[in-house]
Amino acid sequence: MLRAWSEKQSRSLIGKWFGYKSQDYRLLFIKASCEDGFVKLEYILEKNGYIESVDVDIPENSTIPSVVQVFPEGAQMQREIADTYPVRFVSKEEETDFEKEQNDFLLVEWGPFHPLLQEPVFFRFLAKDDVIKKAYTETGYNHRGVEVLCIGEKIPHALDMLERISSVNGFSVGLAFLLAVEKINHIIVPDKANYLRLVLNEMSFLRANLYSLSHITKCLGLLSDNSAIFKLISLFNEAASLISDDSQLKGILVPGGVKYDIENETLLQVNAILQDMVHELTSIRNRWNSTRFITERMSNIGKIDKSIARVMTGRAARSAGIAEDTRKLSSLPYHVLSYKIPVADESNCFTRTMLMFDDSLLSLSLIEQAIEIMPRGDVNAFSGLKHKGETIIREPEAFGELAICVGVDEGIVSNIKIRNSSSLNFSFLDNLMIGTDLNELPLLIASLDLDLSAMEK
Amino acid sequence: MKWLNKIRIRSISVYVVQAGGCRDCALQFSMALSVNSKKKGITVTGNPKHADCLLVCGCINEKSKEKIIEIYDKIPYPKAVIAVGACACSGSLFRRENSQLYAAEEVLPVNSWIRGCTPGQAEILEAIVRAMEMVKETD
Repeated sequence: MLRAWSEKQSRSLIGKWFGYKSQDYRLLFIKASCEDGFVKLEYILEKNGYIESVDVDIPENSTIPSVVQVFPEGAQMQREIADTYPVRFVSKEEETDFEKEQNDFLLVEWGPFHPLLQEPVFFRFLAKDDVIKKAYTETGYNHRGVEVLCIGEKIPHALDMLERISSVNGFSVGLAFLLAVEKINHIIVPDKANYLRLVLNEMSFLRANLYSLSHITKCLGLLSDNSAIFKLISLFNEAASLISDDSQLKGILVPGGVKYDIENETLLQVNAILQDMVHELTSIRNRWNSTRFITERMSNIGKIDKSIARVMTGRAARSAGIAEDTRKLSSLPYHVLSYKIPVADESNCFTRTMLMFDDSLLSLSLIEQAIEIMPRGDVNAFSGLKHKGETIIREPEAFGELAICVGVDEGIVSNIKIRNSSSLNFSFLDNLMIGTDLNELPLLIASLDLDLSAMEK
Repeated sequence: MKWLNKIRIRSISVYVVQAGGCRDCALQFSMALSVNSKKKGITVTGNPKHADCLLVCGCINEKSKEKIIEIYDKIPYPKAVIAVGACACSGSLFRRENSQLYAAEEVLPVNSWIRGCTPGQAEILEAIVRAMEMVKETD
């Protein structure tokens, strides 16, 4: 039986949230644990690098107010907790009874496995004249329990798992984890290793953006462009093969730096191969920009209001004119490179896709700049993992901001919580789908850059 | 029906199941179809009733297990099941005691295994063709 929290307790919690919201705090993540019949929830809030937390202890099988009414970006994190722990979140919005409403609308179910879905998600729609009136998404098909598996593991083992969490953002997750471990253990990474990490990180962004573009071309039915993008991915793989056997660049990162030095000549070769992409990417971008069929079709799909985009991350926010620079958060030497974050005026499918091209070109430019000023010296300064502590790291990933909370005790992972960009952006998907034509849905989902494997872990 | 089987070997419809995983195996397969000129008549389908072959990528969890079995049942005979990548073949690093993850062979009768993280594009295409040949010979 579910026990509800008292009115007074609920009001006090909502009051605290509103207090932080009014001071422009953002919800970074929600941590949960279960002990002695109590579920402990920690709402971690952030503003300009300052971290605050709101802690709540609730008895098992209780209902508490939903954070969505104050921080809508927390919907997916909350859903994940409700699936894992004996607690239920109650919001004012009533849940849709799909069976009841079938008389007025057409009930359509899609997924969880389909060629136009990059990852498994299950959708239920109520549609009228092929236009979606209500939508409901169900996740969990990707869940592997990576966070739980990492606890109690040694750092290299946990790193191996985290690098395999997602093919597009695995490198960034592994890197953020290592940066947290190094921060706790006061390890100072040599300059060259930092520059190499930056180059590899940008290469992983480039790969992720190319895969996103390939999926967009598939949804648009542009097979020749799809083939052209895959040729660019082959080019990327050729460049990556000079550095590592693995195109996802797994196994290069180690605590204290990188596993092996990469010669400057090799880096120049890598750069020469990668820069060949610039011409092709620019020409596809220009062609799409001047093709009426593409601009008109895509501009009308997936419009995001600026007020919503403000709490989203990545291209969804930047295409609405919010110049979010996630690279500024990083401890890698991005500050010495010259770059301008691509932004657009209105967030829709077309502008987000154009930003995919711009972001790929930006990554290529940053790789070139970093290789040009690559310092000499050691690439590893590992000095042992003896300290104990917990820290929160915010790093860029290909699709937005990545936040990771890591606890380490003498080289063993004691706690880990990952929140990638999709955890924020996915919360708005249900509402974004309303008013969309059923046949435009794959395009809308593809333009949002959802990385569900890293979101569901 | 030998003549029909011959045609079906030359035109293979594949249903890809991207169960829980990093999705690189499925991406490699899409890339193989798009770039490899020797793709031997392999196409992707979104309808299990049109499929000849089921390609399983990633670790299978409790939730996706039911759906995968449902899809498998809908594929007409003769059909082949191929486990692609370390996650589908053995659960890779993620499979532990009580982790509720399954290797593909615990859920479905697998005809072919492509090991590695991540397997090569040519290997995936070759495995599909061989598995279909094998299945149709025994049929």
